[in-house]
This record gives sequence, C-alpha cells and structure tokens, in this order.
Amino acid sequence: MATAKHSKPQARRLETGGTIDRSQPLRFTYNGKAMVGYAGDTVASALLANGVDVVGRSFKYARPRGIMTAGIDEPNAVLQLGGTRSTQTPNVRATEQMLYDGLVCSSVNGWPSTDFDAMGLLGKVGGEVMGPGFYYKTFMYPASFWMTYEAVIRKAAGLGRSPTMPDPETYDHMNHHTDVMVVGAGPAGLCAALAAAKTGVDVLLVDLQPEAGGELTAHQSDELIDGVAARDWVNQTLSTLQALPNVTVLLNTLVNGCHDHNFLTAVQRLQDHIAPKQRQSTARQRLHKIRAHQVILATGALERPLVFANNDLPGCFVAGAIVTYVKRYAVAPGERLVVCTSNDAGYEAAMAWHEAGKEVVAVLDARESVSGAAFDAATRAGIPVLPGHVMFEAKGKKRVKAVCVGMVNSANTMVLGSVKELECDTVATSGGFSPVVHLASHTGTRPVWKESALGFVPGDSAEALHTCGSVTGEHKLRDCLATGINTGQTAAAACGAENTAAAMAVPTCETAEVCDAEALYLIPHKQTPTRAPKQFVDLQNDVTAAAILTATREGFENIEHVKRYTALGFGTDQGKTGNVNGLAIVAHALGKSIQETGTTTFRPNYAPVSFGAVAGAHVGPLFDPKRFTAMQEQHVELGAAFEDVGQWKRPWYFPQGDETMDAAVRRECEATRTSVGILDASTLGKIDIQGPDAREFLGRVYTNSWAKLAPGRCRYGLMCGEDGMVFDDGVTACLAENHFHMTTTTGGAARVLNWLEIYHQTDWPELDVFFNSVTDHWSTMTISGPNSRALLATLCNDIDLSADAFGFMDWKAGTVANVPARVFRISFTGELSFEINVPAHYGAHVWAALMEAGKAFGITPYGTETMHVLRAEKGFIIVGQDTDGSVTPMDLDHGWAVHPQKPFSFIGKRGMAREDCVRPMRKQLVGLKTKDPSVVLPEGAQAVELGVMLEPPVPMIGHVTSSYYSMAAGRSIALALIKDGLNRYGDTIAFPLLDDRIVHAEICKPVFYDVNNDAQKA
Amino acid sequence: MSDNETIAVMNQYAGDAVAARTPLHHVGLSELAEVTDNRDASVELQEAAVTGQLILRIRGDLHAASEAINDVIGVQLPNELQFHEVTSERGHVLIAWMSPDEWRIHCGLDDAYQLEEDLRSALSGITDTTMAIVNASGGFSVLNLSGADVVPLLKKSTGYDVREANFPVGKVVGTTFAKATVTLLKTRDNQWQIWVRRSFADYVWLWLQDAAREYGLKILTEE
Amino acid sequence: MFLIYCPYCKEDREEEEFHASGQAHLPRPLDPDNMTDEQWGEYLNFRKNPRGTHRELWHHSAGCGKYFNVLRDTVTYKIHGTYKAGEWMELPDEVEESLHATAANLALEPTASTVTESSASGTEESS
Repeated sequence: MATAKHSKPQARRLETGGTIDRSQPLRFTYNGKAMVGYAGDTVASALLANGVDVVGRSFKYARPRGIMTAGIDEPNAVLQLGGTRSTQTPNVRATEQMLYDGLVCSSVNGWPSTDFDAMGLLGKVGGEVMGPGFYYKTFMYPASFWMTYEAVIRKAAGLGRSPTMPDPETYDHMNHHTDVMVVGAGPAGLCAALAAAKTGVDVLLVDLQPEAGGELTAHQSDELIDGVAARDWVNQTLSTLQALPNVTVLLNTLVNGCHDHNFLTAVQRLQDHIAPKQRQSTARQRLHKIRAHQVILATGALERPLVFANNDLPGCFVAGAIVTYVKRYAVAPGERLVVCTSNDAGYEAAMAWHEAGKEVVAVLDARESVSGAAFDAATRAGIPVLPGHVMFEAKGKKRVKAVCVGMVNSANTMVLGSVKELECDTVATSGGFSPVVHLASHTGTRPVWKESALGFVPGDSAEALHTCGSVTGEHKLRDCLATGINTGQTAAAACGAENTAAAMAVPTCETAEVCDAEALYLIPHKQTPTRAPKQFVDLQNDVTAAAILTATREGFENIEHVKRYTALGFGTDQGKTGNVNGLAIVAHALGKSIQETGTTTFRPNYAPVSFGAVAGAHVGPLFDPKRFTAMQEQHVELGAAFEDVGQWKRPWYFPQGDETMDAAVRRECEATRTSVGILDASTLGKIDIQGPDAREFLGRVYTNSWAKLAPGRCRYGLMCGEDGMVFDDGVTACLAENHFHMTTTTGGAARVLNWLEIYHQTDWPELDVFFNSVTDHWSTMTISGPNSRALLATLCNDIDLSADAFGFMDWKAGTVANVPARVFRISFTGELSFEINVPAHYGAHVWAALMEAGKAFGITPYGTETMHVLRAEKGFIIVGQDTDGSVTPMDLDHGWAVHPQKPFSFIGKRGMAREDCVRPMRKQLVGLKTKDPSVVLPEGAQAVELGVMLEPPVPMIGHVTSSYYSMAAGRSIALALIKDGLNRYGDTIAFPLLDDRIVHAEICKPVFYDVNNDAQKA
Repeated sequence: MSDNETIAVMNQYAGDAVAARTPLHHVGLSELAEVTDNRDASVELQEAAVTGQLILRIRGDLHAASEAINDVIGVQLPNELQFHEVTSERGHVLIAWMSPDEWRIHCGLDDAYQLEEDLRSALSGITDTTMAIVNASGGFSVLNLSGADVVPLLKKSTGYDVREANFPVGKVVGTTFAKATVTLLKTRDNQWQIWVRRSFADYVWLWLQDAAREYGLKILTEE
Repeated sequence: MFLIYCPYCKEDREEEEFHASGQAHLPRPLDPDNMTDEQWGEYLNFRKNPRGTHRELWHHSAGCGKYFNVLRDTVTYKIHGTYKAGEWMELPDEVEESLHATAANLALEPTASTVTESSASGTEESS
C-alpha cells in the first residue's frame, strides 16, 4: 500500500465519474512536493487523490491526522496557504479551498515535519503535561511559567503563520436589503427561495458552496425529483431563480453571523479559487451586510462521526465524506472500507464505495434489527452487513490497518462476547446528524433537543426567523422540499405578499423506507475510557472522552464549564463534529438528559473570517476620513508638516529647507511677534445661532453673561458640563440682536452642537432659537502681529481699521481681497490680530491675496505648534490639553468668566458648587519657570514637593500640561495643574524625570509675555 | 424690531471677478475627465459648480410657510424625505426636506442673497411661526453620480436601502456614506446626487475612486 | 445592529445612523441651586439598568439630527416602539407577557424579583 500510493500520480483517482474536469490538470505543491489535481477539486480531494494520508499533527498529542470530512466541519485538514510572506494564510480548510494552478500549501502542525514528528515520540509525556484543564491549572502558576509553556506549545503544535507583510489583496463590504433571505441552497433552501420569489418579494439566497444543492450536489444524488435526477433538478431550480429579477443568489458565501433585528453578515469568497496572478481588480473577499425582513434558515445538518478508540487515525472518515469524495470528486481514498453506523446514512457510503469497484469489508450497524431500503440495497449488492455490531477500536500507526469489532448490547453501552479484527484501510462512521443551529442561536435563543431527530434544533426566536429542511431535524428529502415551500410562502406572506395563492406544488420525489436511527455517541470499549486507547471527541483540540469524564469527576457539571476546562469546541472548527458527542458523554456521566445538559453558547462567527474581510476597504488612506480646509493645496505647496486634530489635517509648522521643527517654530513665533504671521483657523467649530431666545440660550450654556453683549462685539466663554467641569471654550460674536456666531474648539465642534441640540430638543424646546453648523462654510484665516493692521489695510478699504473705530473684541463686515468677509478682532496670540472669515469657496483666493500682499511685511505662515507657544506665553488655555474633564473654571483661575449672579442656573453652576469642587487643595492652573531657563520640562511631568523621598509611593502634587521654549520670554515656560497652586506663587517644586534628572521650577502667574495686554489692544 | 435689524443678513457673493472654488478643485477633475473620456465605464462622476445653498429652518405654521415659499420660488415645502425642483425666471431652484424643521435650498450662487431676503420677507409675517435662514454655499460639495452600476456602488458605500421601491426619484435622505455623513438624493433614473460637507469631500472622492474600480469610473465636467 | 424607526423621518433606519444617548425622560431639575449635593448627584450620575423594557434617548445623528425615545427590551433587544422627544408611549399590552416567555426561552431562569422589578420600573416611569 505505502509503495503503491506513490507509484503514479493521482493513484486514488477513479477512472470515471465526478464533477471534476479531467481535461484541466492543475499543478500544486503540498509540503514542497509537486502534485497534480483537476479543475473542480478541493485541495482535500486533490490530496486524497494523490494518496496523502497525514495532513497534520494534533495540537496536544502530536498524533498523525488525516482528512476526515469534506466540508466546513473539517477539524484536521487545516493548512497554511500561499507561498510568500505577504500572502501566506493560516487556518485554511483544505476541504473548502478550491484548487487552482500553482497553489502552494503546507501542513501547519508538525515540527520538524508532519511525517516524522518529534513531539509524537513525546506524545504520552505531552499528554500528561497537558491534561484536561491544563490552561487553567497553568495560569495558577506565576505568569513567567506560562511564557515558557506557550513558546513550546506554539512551536510544537504549529498554530499557523500569519502574513508578516501587508496583504496585497483588497477587500470590501456591500450592504443589502431584502424581503426574504434564505440561508442555504440545499433542497429546502431552493424550494423556500423559489416559493417566496414567485410571490414577487425580493429574495436573497446564500450558500457557502460554489454550487447550490447542498447534499444533493455533494453526493451527486440521482434520486428523482419531479422526474429528473436530483442534481439536474438543482441546476434547473437555480437557473429559474437566477433568471428572476427579484432574486439575488450569492454562492461561495458563508453566512457567519445572525445579529439583532435580522441583520446578517456573510463573507463571499470572490477570488480565493483563482490563482493570485490571475485575480481581477475586484476584491478577494466581500463582506455582505444584509438586513432582511424575514430570514429563512435552511442551513442543513452536519453528520456526526462516532467516537471510538483511535478514531483519529488517518483513513477514518465521516460516512457522508466518503460519498462526496467518491461521487463528486471521483476519489476513493483507500481500497478496503469498514462502515460503522447507527442510522441509514452509513449504507450510502458503502454503496458508493462498492459502486466505485472497491471492497466493502463490512457494514457494522449498531441497531439490532435493521430493515428498509438502504439495508436491502446493500444486501442485494452482496455487502456484508452485521447488525448489532460496532467497531470499538482502530489499529494502525499512520493509517488504519484494521478495526476491532464486537457485538453491542441494545443500550449501546457495552461490547459483548468475543471480538474480532477486520483488516481494512478506510473507515466510515455515522452517528447521526446535528442540525446547524448556530445562526438561529446567535441572537440568544437556546437550541432544543429533539429526541426523534437525535439532535438539537433551533428554539423559538424573538426575531422574524424561520427554519426548514434538515436544520429542523427532518432529513427526508420529501420533507425538506415540502417544508421549504411552505416556509418560503409563510415568509413572503409576512412581508405582505398577497400572491401566495399562486401556490407552488411540492416537487414529487421517491420516498424510500427508512429504518429509525439509534442514539450512539461514544462506542463502548472493552476497557473504560481512561484505560482504552484514546477516544477523540474534539479532534482539533485533542479532547478525549476520558478527558471529559475527568472534568465531570473534578466537579465540572455545567457544560459551559466543561467546555472551558477541556477546550472542547474551542478550535477554529468550533467543534462542529464533536460538540454533540461531547455533551452526550457529559450527560451520560452526570445521569442527565441531553436537554438538561444543554449546549454551549453559539456566538458569531460561525467559521473564522479573515481580518481583511472585516476591515473591507476601510484601510490605508481610507481608514478614517481626512478632513481638509479650503487652503490645503496652498499648505502643501508651502511644505507644511501636518498634525492630526481629530480627523482634520492641520499645518503643524512650515519648515524651510532642512529646518528642524524647533527652529521653524522659533522663526514663526518671532515673525508673528515682530511683524505678521498667518494661521489657517478654518477648523474651529462655527455655529450660526438665530432667534429671539439666542441670547438667553447662550446665557444657559456658557458660564458668563450674554445679556448685554451688543451687536458688533465678541466675547470669550467657557462651557461646562452639568458636573461643573470645563469641556469647551471659544469666542462668540453678536452679529445682530438675535443673531450670534459661536466658535468652538476644533475637536469639540460636533460635541458642542449636539450639546446645544440635546438641551434645546429635550429640556428647553420653548426657547425660540435655531443652531446651524457653518464650520465648513467659512474659511477662517488669522493674521497676527504688529503689522497685521497694515497688511489688512492693503486688501480692505471698506472697514475703518483704526484702533478707535475697530477695537479689541469688535467685529466688522466688509470686503477683503474683493470678497465679502466678517472680520473679528480677537487674539489667541496676544498680538494685534484679525480673524478673517470668508465663504470657503473664496478661501484659497483670500489666502493667496494675503500671502502676496504680506510679502512686504515678511508674512510668515505658522502652524498649530507656534499657535500653542504663542498662546501659552499669554497663559491662554487649550481645553483638552490644560484641562482633562476634572477642572472647573475656578481651578483655571477663570472666575472672571463665571457669572453666578445670572438669574438662570446655567449649566455647570450647580456642579461647580459641589463640596468637592470648592474644597481647598484642588489642582489649579499655574505657570512654571524652571530654575534653569534652558530646560524645557516634558509635558506630563509629575510634580512633587522639594526634598521629598523618592521612594514609592511618592506623593504627587500635580503635573505639567503645556511646556515650550519661549523666544519672547527668552526662557522655557510651562503651564501646570498643581495642588493649591494659586496660593503658591513663588514656591519652588520639583519634577523627577524618567532619566533621573530632577528639575526645579518656581510656581508663577501663567503669563510670560505682555502682562498688561498692550500688544493685543494696539 | 424688523428682521433686518435683528439678523445680520449678508450678501456673500463676490461677483464674477473672483472664481468660486469647489471642494474638489485641487483634484483637477477637468484633466481627469480628459484621461477617462474613452474609458469603458459604468459609473460616471461629476462635481457640480458652486451653487447658492441656504439652510432654511421653520417651526410653527408649516402650511402657511409653504404657501409663502411657493410665492417666492414657485414650489411648496417638500414633506419628509422629498425634494422638489423648479425652474423659473430666478433659475433652477431645488428645495429638499432635511428634518422636521429644516430644508435645504439650492439656487444660483449670485441669487443666494436676494433669495434669502425674499424668503425672509415672505415668511416674517406668519403668525406663531419662527424661522432662520443661513447661507451655507461654501459648506458642501455636490457630486452627481450616474451610470449602470451606480446602485452597486452605493450599496458598497451606504447601509441605506437604495432599492427602487424604497428610493424612487424625488427622494432625499441623510445617511452614512463609508465613514462620512451625507445627504443622498435620487434625481433621475440611475442618477443620484451626494451632498457632502466640504472638509469630507476629499475622503468621499478617494472612496468613490476605490469603490468604482471594478466598474470603471469616468469623470464628467459640467457643460 | 438594530433597525430603528425614526419618528421624524418616519421610516426604519440602520443603527449606524444613530447615537445612543442614555436613559430617556431625565428632565433637568428646575431649581438646581436649592438641591443638596446628594440630590444633584442622583440626577447627574444615577441611571437605571433594567433587565427588560427600558426607555432610551437616541439621536438620529446621520439623518435628521433629532433626538427621540426608544422603548426597548434589554434582554431580547426587541424595540417596542419609538416616539418623539416630549411625548410618551405606553407599554404595549403584550409586552409584560412576552418578557416572561422570552426569558424562559433564553434559559435565563426568570426569578420573581427580576420580573417584579422590571414591571415596577414600567409603572414608575409612567407615573
């Protein structure tokens, strides 16, 4: 055998049959070996055709593992795909990955190699080191132990390699709205979709396979439906659906999550089946976000393998997988098959094997008396059937060589009498079917055990969710077709479809006589589970029946606890094959029913989703919006370095040549203080406020008074939360008696508008006032410095700019560079300043005109850093930098901006009067002068008292909020929040830094330039 | 006090001498239009020239207000999620519902001031009715999308239901568009309009280029 | 992802168009200055967190910009209704019953206390 399988390529490919295209050979490499498969193959079918038995080593015991299923439930054949560091993808199920020419894949588990695994020799030792509850017990030791374990486990188990370079593929999202969404395009789903579609409602039909039909297609069923072979009926029905304008069909699309209010997420693999070099400009994968009025789950059922000793040996398959490999892919993955089953499904595998010309050694049927169509057909074909028998152990090293067979008692709990060995190389088992209840459970509904179906079925949902087909526990084709049509019509009617009277007839099909299934999960061994060879329940996580029994003995009785203690169902397959077997074992051990034991909780996602699909197109430059002002192009031309302020890109500083940031900022500061600088202030939030009650409203949201502010005047205001803490500030201008122009911080614009709206809409709807954002409408440029008046005069001849006519905190309407403008004489630098507002479509024009006219004055554009330095020299705060949500206006020494005598108890008034806000020793904003004027304190530096012992815990008395070197002051300056700081001017405190320096600084009033405000009032 | 004294209405039009730049001026769409002219594309994109845009807020007697507005622009106030267009001697005017007390008006850039004055005087006398008008002409980019694949492109960009039955011609909604917030209108069959805040226009432009890659994108310039 | 009916736009919209703004019906006290610190703290900081029906304030931030109320079940996430700011909506008749039924369905073992609490909170709010 071992020699035969490598004698020729695709030695296990059948001569005829299957849906693969023998005229299209595809080359691929597996673990570096060149192999060939055919178009239509999955990687799994191609590996089996090439005689590959071992595809990985198990996680904990390093045992050889082979392909076990043919679909999404595969626990073992999880491969590494891709040949480069940017495209390598871990956790790809070989049973789902379509083969393409040039595909490169390798096994992930197996160090140093899959065929010879060093850990395999240590299997027993490893097993004991990593008994059930390993993780929990390990975590009880010091964390450093875990680091050691983790390194060994990861290397030994091989958990796949993530890409280490950016992914060259693209991904995107698409939103859908539909009346009826049908999940699963098997016989029930097809019928449901068609029945709903015929009433005229919109239908979205989704299936994870590249072809519709579910098991009918997988098994290439030739049962007759409406007189044609089932596989043809599938194609006809699909074509009918695809031709309808109200139907959308998404194949290759896995519905992964069923969220609140019928919102479903599904990942479509658009290009995974295509060789990377041939991929189109479309995305590799697309995440569909679907909102459906009605959802029909026709998700089918997954076949359960039986649990027996050494059931993880390569060559052990789920029965249905044998049918799929033989009939769909024309691969017989062995020569001599033994089937063990508790229901009729095992016979289908035997018949497929037999019809492929291979030997069926025996069908072992746990049921004592068997009858019905499947049994009759097998008997007629001469296949030996042994009723009342089971296979309780497999033998072999890297492949099944034989199985141990014996009689089983009627309760299926004990092997009776003598035992014999049957030689074989392949085993197929069926323990019944587990409905795919996951999606139905995602919104919180617990599945319900249905004894007649020997499986969990979806419970009643709070959502408009329907089920049909074998997910309901009904596996007969006729029932699937009938419930599909019925459910489709019910869902359509719930969407308001009136045309349901045009009822669709249930397609006719044969009804074979079925023999009832028996409950069988763990096949009893001659030995107890702890003494018998390992009986695997969850193959991906190496969870054995013995481990589950150990857990129950250790007192874990809740299934959620057992899961976490043993890791049952924790793998990338989420225990699709093992969960029900596992909880049946728990139930048996605890003497409870399976319903009482219950299931673990199913959460999205049903199967792993790539990060790319989750991120979609929201990556790189599209990760987050970048907001630009109307002068962005000019800033780029001037070579600005940009700073993120929220989503805005603001010029940070404008370096000239090789200039450093420090040098640029000093130059910009000096130019502004001595001649004129220009700042793009367009990002400030701007809110137009109109209405007779505008003034009253301002008085309620600002801490100071607005009752007497005259048209033509501006005023600075602080906004507090109800807790009395400062959350925004800005200048608001009275444009006219009932008309104000409010400015907010750049980052606070949206928050402030919402703040105004929520109070107006919920608490004070009686106030007659309107708020409208005009942030984007106005471009704002500030010219600042002693020459700013002279500069403005060159471009503006309709405003009297003299100090008498246009005083500090006045605003005027006029024309600047031929553009209508509102000019505010306010200052954030302490210099004579004019803030020019023009409609944004003229912003670039006015900026250019100012730069041109400004040449005569050496106009210097400056960015946010210079702005920060200039304002700090004046002690002007920046909310969010000098405040942190725990600072009242009094803490800022801004009591002048609080008018508690106002009649209305403005927002923040009560909060700032709380006991804690008026206590002594609060942190207060002060200035700092370092003893060494050249030392600039780091922002965030913690303050301590002089001479305090620097041994933890060191009492902290505050921290630095802003710190710069000031050209104007000729020294470093800083702002800080210091306990009781306002009473400590002149005191010296210390700042121990990370680099062990201790900087001494004197507390002072936070004004370092032009204490009398002469410059800004000039 | 009359409205003119209590509200600072401002003529913000600079005249023909100063060009009004659209938010996507820096992209150089006219050059891209030449490059993409012969492209096999099923999505076409055009940024409209700067228009006059007024935010109109009214609370109170909407019926009377609607009549007053009809006298000024020749069309009534639209109801929820609707917009009206009208062409008269004052040119093309569009008025869209934005909120229960908010409408948006598009008009000629040079007419925005006069229209605001006309609306103010028409609306000022209505009993128990209060209003505000704000000139926001500089605040938005107006993008026109057309072509056979506009709907799939929109489905990649917004979670709003753009199916024909839910989104007929004449409908307007405020919704999300990628990570931005926009106003979306269907102006004709397969013709849509997006209003996006000026500062987000560049982001939406980048997004549209990326999302339209699989359909082919052609840039149109205004005639 | 909820589907929320905006009572102003008068149609169902995706959750991503909205922002949740916490508990609804929290009128600002008319005379804050004469409240004790404790009373003020109660208004400022204490919120209900019921298991069952809850009244919440939501903001249609990407749509019409209006705030409105949502009557929602915090167990099933079912939205019983939405209504404009300043308005009130009674609990639908079937709601209390469905609360029991749902809790049983979700295997949450409703206890007498949780059921009483949630119905009590309903009456308290409507009083």
